[in-house]
Amino acid sequence: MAQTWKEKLGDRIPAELGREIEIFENEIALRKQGKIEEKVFAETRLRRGAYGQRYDNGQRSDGSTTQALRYPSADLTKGPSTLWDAPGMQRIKIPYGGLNPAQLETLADLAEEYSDGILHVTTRQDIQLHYVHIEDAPSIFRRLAAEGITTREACGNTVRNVTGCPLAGVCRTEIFDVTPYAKACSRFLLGHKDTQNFGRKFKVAFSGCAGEACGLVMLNDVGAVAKVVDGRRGFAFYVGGGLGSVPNQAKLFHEFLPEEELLPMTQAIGRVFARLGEKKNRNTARLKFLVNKLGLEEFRKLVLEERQALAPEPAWTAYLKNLHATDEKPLKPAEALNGRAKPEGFEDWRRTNVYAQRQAGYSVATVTLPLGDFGARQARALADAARKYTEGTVRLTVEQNLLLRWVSDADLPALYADLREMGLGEPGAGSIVDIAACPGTDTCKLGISSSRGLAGELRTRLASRFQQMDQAVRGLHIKISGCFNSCGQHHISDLGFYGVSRKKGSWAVPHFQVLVGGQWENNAGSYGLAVIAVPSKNVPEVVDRMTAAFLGGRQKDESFKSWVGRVGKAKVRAMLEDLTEVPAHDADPSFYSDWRDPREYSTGDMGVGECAGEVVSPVDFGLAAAEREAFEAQLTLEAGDYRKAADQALGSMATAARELVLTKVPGVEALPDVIREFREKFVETKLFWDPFAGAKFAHYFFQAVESPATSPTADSAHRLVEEAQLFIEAAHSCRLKL
Amino acid sequence: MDLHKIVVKFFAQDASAVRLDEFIPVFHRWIRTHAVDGMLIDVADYGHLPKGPGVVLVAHEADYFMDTMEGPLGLLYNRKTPSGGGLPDRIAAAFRSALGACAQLEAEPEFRGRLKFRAGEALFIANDRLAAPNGDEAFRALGPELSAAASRVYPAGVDLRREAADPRRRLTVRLTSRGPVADVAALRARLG
Repeated sequence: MAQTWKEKLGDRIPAELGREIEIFENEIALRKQGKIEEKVFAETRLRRGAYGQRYDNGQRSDGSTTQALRYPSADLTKGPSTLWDAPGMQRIKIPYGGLNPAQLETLADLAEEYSDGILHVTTRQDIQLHYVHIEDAPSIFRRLAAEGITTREACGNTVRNVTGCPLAGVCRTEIFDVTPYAKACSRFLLGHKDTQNFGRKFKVAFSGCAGEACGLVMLNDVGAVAKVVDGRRGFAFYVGGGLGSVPNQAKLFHEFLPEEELLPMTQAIGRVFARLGEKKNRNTARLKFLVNKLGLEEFRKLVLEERQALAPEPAWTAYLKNLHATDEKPLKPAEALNGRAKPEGFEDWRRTNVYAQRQAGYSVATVTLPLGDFGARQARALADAARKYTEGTVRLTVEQNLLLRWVSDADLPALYADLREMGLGEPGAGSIVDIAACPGTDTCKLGISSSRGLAGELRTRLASRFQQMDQAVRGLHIKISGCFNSCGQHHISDLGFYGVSRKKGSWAVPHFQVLVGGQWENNAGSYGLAVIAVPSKNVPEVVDRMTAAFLGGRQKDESFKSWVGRVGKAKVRAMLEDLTEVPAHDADPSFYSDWRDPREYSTGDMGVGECAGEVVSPVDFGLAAAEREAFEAQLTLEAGDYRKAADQALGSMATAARELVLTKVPGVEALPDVIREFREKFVETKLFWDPFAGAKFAHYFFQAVESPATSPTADSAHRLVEEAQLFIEAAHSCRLKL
Repeated sequence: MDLHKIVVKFFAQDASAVRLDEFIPVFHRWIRTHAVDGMLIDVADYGHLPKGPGVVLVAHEADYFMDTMEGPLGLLYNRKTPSGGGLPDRIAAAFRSALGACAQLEAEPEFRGRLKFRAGEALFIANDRLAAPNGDEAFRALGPELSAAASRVYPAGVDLRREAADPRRRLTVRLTSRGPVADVAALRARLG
């Protein structure tokens, strides 16, 4: 019997990947001997998709006190403040979400043997395993490599998973199938010498058409939308998109980039990004910041110069000779559904979860994965279904679901019955109950509020009345992030939420910012803005009120986004204002713990709960005022007065900074004095300091004061309003430390 | 057999008597009070997933699941790190921890009188496809050692029945006591 997976799998592991894994195995050994610096080891494991996870600093709040988690390896670390034995997250890249049944089965095995039995689909079509020990990583990598999967560059300052429309090849609205291009791009950039020196991650997406959402091109560093001009294939080519704390819509770099230029142009962008992108301050290191800093024209000029200087590589065009290599074929002949017996619930499921392919007689079935999760046993059953009904054509989606493509229509009832048997026959794909959420406080170190807890709660409540809902409400999208970093893509939904915290007396209270006005369609065509922060426990009421108001007030066929635009954010905010109230702890302690987590809420190691007082201090009033000013800036922005919006946004930051300064230096009023004192007493002392973002939010304020825009544009004013909102959130966090 | 990743599951007598979400606060309390074996870290809630791992108490050495993936609701103990002794010792240690958790749950005020585990039957899973692939050969190799360990738990001995013929699944064995047993607390007491 083989002793190791390396022996057992032998030459099933491609040589290059095998060598890569051996290197990492050696690095693990060296780190254990103290021969590799922890920060170097951290980057090397991140580049292989091995992340840290919540509580890996060895501390955990149990609600009343912070307990030390005493791992056996004591002080050995796998990165700064990241203990060796602490469970971590393993991200696994699945380019354009494409999987075959054998790969699904391997993932199931890994989930059982190294994780908690769960496979989690991310909003970038990756798979994540949680609670994984770092020393299991080499075996995981080998077993994946034997099935043609790599975790290389799943994380770190690298090219992340290349995403693509999961309907590619069968879509009714696509210009052409982007699958071969996404695959070629993913392979070309993986480990390429020109993608190894980035200051930050780099995301690429492909979409077959401009109008749908499947590719979400506008929120990627590089995005390609299929286009044909004069019979030639190519792409509308976008750059500089991104969500994160300050979202940015991608800008059109090229109206029509011929297909043969796709890879070299992406390479040229990578070279410019590596050469000129920010390296020291990770908070301004994404490509979007470089594009904004240089301006699109200058950026384009530099990229085109770089492109001209590139030495040709065969891989640029080799794949174009066989674009049909990724084509999928049906297992069974096309046959209509007519006359087939239909299990109970089939029609409801079919309405939301079945998409008629361009190819007559075939459909795509969406398997709704609750919160993006499925179990190992379900993964095997899905692999069986993929073999039974298709030729093994499975795709993961950015909505955290799984698609079975090329299902003969006549097989749909049987497939539905099989999915029901697996526990995966829920209807509602792409609807208001199909809520996307990042891991949040469940496992993420950055999580502030429980995004998955809230998503689970909303899902349960909404699913119970889904069949009675008006179609207009059913079709809404809800997306939730545990913090401002937007992994749950809260900016691009009708109703978005991201986790924040607030203080009530001496207690911390989990909250969510409510965002409205985002757009999922048109490849994430516009981003929503925050209107108000409400306690976590009031979010279900927010959803109920907003949907009821929309139904009652919408004009014929008006979309939610249009309704919000017509009604105005001020009215939306007024509609929700009373929901900001937090009852006293004695009156309703449930507000002081998060969804599906009974612990007294805490944002970290600081103690809460000792003081029963209900005193509202001047600084709390002051921060509330700053928040109001930021909101007014939003309204001004909405009205199109960019100059005034920018001024108001800056004013709101100044107010928040002044209120904090006043807690240390009474009487300070003038802005120069506020800035000086704020810098000295809060930033340099790291009191105004995010554990992961550092002084990023303070720099928003300093930059706005020191380099004010002479004539703000819609984009720059929008950015400043976002920054002001984040600065004020950071002020609230700082307030908790005072 | 060099098997260290060992899973033991005891099924609830009446799965409908409890809800999965009721285990969340109990597991959080266990972390605070160090109520069961291991360095307890976190609670993961997968109650939204039918036929999933339910609610998980994550520890460094092993995880405790109120599981619905491996059959009906039950306490599933999943040993992750190596423990000392030969294989029968390691299996017995897994039974000890699993039974301890079952007995503790039965005694919790939230569940007293509602939650009882079927003590006379258990599921054993070899959670390592390299050391114990799901096949006849591995089952034959495992049998004597599993029986030796089980005899420490069950005084009348056990019948072993291999489950999960699908080779993709883990080597899974159902143990049934040949004689009557009192309850999980009594079995736990036998293991010292």
